[in-house]
Order: sequence, then C-alpha cells, then structure tokens
Amino acid sequence: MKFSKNNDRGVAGLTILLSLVTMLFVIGLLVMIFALMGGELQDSTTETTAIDVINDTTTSISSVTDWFPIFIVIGAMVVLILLTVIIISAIRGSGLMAGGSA
Amino acid sequence: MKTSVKNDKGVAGLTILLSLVTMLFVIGLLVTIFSLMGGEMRDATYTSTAVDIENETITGLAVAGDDFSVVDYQDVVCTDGVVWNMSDNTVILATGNYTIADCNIVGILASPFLTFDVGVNYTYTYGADNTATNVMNDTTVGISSVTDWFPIFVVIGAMVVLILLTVIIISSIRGSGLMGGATA
Repeated sequence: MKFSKNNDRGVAGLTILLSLVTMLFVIGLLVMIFALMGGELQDSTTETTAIDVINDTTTSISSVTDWFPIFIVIGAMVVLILLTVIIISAIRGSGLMAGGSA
Repeated sequence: MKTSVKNDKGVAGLTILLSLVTMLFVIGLLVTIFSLMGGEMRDATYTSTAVDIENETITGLAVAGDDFSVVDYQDVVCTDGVVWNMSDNTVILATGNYTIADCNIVGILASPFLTFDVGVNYTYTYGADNTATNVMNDTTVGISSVTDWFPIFVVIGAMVVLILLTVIIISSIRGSGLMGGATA
C-alpha cells in the first residue's frame, strides 16, 4: 500500500484557500444551473403545488450563496492561524526561548 | 531509504515568503478568471422584460438632453416614445421637435417647445434580475472578497522573515563571543 506524504511546506494553508475559492465557484455555478432549471420547470407547469415545490426548492438552494463570504473569512482565518504557527515554530526553533517560561 | 536534510541556512524564511507571494498570485489569478466567467454568465442570463411607461415628466425640454428614469437599467432599450406638452395635454409634439435615443430625449433647437415641461409615454426593454443572476452575482462577490485578506497575509509573511532575520542576527552576535560574559 502506498502512502503519499504532503510536502508542501511554507504555503501556510494557502492551498486550502485555493481549493475553497474553486469549490465555492463550482457550487455557485451548479446552483445557478439549478436555478435556471427550476425557473424553466416552474414556467412549464400549471399545477399550483408543483410550482410551489419547485419555487421553494430553487429559493432554498439559492440561499447557499449567502454563506460564501463567511466561508472565505473562515478560510482566511485558517491561513492566518497557520502563518502564526509558522512564526511560533520559527521562534521556538531558534532556541532563543529555550529557558523562558510563560 | 533516502532522507533529505534541509540545508537552506541563512535564507531567513524567504522561501516561505516566496511561496506565499506565488500562492497569492495564483489565487488572485484564479479569482480574476472566476469573476470574468461569472460576469459573462450573469449577463447572459438576465430575463428580457418589456415595460410600458406612461406620463413620465421631463422638466424643461432641453437641447442638452434629459435621461429617462430607466436609463441606468441593465441593457435598456427605449422605444415607441410619444411626447406631449404638459401645459396642454392634447398637444402631441411632432417628432421634428425632439429626438429620442439611448433613453434620452433631446429638444431640437428650432422647436417652439424648448424649456416646456413635456410628458412622455414609452416602452423600455431591459435585462431583469432573476434567481440565477443573483446566485452568480453573490458567488462572484463572495469569492472576490478573498483579495481583501492578501495584504494581511503578506504582512504576516514579512513578519516571519523579520523574526528569522532577528534570530540570525542574535545568533551571529552570540556566536561571535562579543557577549560572552554579558547578562540580560
């Protein structure tokens, strides 16, 4: 069995942010397609219940975009935390704080 | 089994800063592409909608022109304009008194109705928002906000370099023996 080890040092989780941005765009694209499909389905039927269902469905899944900014903020937080970890590791690794106490 | 030992001494974390800057550029590039794609997709998805406007008042017909209230709407086109004198609603202005183009009415210099308040009926067609355009707009705006964080990433990356440079300086001073008997 082969294991692949992650060796991308020093990027401070920016690959996570990159993946996050890409995924958000893909989700947005998919939801847009669903919204278009939902609109067409809604227009093609006269059954009230069916219209309500597809309208509620489209409206609900469309609200996913309201969460995108907070996802970006949290992704940025991850990067900031990992950058802070790099700083702390650098200070500890220097040996300057070997005898220090909190 | 081969082991690789890290021997890049004296670079003071500049490799981290290099990786950081490169990754930020890649993310920025990707977000730019997504924004362009999102904008095109949004523009292609507006719902073309026609609306009739009756009795929109233009205060003082002018050679300089006056915009209709809908001039800033998405992909708006104004057609079938009918103009009359507001002081006497029965007098419809002949088309030689004005021109309508790009949802803007311009009075002709020789017209006796210049400076008169006129009413306009017209039809405008524009690209109305719909759920799909709102979704793509929110997506583009959402992912575009990632660039707000780039300066703080660069500042923190620079902090890493500065700290490691300080470490190198202090290590060099301690290693030189100049502070051998000193106490903090």
